[in-house]
Amino acid sequence: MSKILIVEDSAINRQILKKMLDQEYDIIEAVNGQEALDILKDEWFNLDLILLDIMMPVMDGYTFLSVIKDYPDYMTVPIIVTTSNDSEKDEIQALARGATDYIRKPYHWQIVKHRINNIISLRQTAAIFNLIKYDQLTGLYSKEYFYKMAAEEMETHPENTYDIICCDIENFSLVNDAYGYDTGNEILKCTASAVNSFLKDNILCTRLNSDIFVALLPHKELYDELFFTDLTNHINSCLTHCNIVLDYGIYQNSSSETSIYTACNRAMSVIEKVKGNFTKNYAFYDESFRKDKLFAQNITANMERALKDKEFKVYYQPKVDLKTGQMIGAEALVRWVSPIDGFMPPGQFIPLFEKNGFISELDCFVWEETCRFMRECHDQGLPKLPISVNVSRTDLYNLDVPKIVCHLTNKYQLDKKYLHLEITESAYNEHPEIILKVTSVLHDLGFILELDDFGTGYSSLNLLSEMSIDILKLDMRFAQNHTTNKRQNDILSFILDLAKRMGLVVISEGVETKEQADTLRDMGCGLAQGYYYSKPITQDEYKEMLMKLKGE
Amino acid sequence: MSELLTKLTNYGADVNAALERFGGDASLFETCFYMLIEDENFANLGKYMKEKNYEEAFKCAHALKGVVGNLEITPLYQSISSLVESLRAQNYEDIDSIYHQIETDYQSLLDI
Repeated sequence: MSKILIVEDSAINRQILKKMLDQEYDIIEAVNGQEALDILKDEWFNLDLILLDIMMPVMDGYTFLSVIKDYPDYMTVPIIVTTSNDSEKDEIQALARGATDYIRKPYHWQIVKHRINNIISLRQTAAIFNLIKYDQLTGLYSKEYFYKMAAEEMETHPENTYDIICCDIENFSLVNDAYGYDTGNEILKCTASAVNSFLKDNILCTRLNSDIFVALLPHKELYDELFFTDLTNHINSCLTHCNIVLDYGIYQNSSSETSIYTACNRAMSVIEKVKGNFTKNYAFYDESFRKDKLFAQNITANMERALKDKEFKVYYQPKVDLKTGQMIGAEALVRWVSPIDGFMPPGQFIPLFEKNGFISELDCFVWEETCRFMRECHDQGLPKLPISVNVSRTDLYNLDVPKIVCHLTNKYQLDKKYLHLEITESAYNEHPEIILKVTSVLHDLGFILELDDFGTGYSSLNLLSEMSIDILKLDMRFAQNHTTNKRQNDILSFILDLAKRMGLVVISEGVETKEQADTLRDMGCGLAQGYYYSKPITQDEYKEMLMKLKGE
Repeated sequence: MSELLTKLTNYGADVNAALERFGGDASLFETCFYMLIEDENFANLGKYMKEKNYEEAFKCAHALKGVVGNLEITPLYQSISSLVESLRAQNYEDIDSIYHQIETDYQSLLDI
């Protein structure tokens, strides 16, 4: 059944149009241009016609027509504008902006029906003639033809279910760069023919765009690894110049209920799970992936607002002298307390922020909040203890960290030695030269630098000799495993010894038990942080601890 | 014909033409008629006319015109059409008396 989108703010008019049309067509409704755009995003491929009112709140018909001009895909759907009978001006304007035709209010039901019917059937006939059937380079079906035929296949066999397999050549742009476009094209042709012939029972195959191929197959419950490695090997056996790696995304059990467009997108999106992974080259689109995606989407959509609405809170986790048990400072940690989702563990959002760059904005917020808080404590005559803040590796590339932290210590009139900066060890692995430069500037300015997560990455002893750091922060694994693991124990001793020789202070993270604290102290570790002493606490609680310290 | 439809016919509405548009579905037509009666555009139109905010008044009148026309409520359709025309032409001379006519026609509908 052809599908019509009715865009009209008046419920009565929508009712009338629906009554006229819903026996012959599938009807979807939108009450303004914006809603219609949202629907088009997922549905444009399924739509045969749009009936568009001109005067509507939020987004009127004219705006809608101008906006969709930028979307060639959307422009393939014919639009009939509904105008009132007294305004030729509206009709001319709508036609000039790309509307296919118009109908007038009050609706004449025969005119409405015929006009819609004629336009839809004209488009369908023309579409068959106009659709470029084949991809010129590979000879596979073109994307548009694939979409159309796949949708038809699924619609005519609603009893069947299908799988969509999407393959993507890893680093194809590099192949083009290294070997030139001719070789690149050879590889694409080779891949196309292999995909087409190797996936024997494929119903349809296409090249979706540059180096992404998609096949529609009858549903199969199990795919073993061999299936995919064989296909990749087969392609490589045809290539003389180079070897390629293919990543596969599979969307299973697709039916006519999910549009082919969405199904292909899902198969394509799940590839990101295995991109760059050398041990596994295929992934299935499943519920957990969908949930992760939605979760990430939700976080990305809300992060800026959350920062504005003060949903991010800074907590402070005390650091303690292992010998005396006395608090000597704290680490500032960010928490997200959302009124809807409640308390969100940092592990859930920090990695995402590191990926999308928002971490820098959040870090700046934490730095400022920490400085403001220290000023407040100093003003109230509380003991002056340093607080460390995290500097993400992206900050070091994206921000002028020395300028920002200097500005903050000036603004809040703090001695620089009170603001400790924690830089994670792994930052050094990627761009050592940048890290060395920035840390040396910060150190010369008088900031105390802590090397965070020491011992987690590919620690290099070089790093210790090259980088201007003051404090070594041992990853929590050292505190938690050393009693059970003899070798780790030896490494810990060695690190503590080395630190002592180099005049570095060592702080151990993740101390959870008295036994751990005792052993660390006996081994010569000076400072500790962890739940055994205190969890991260609010600023008021931290102030209370400072007050207690003052009393002592 | 139901009581409402008879009354509407007496009022001057072209019920037969409207029913044709509704594919003969009298009860859907009646539902839509009651939706029209409660259409907030009437109240908004009154408000904007009073404030002489003719731009907004035009939007309300224009929206009403489309719906009233589709329901073939001829007398109200005529008065609203002439208001839409005047507002479009920015001819505000007789505008209050035209609006008054709409109020009268709308009131008669409410009385039904």
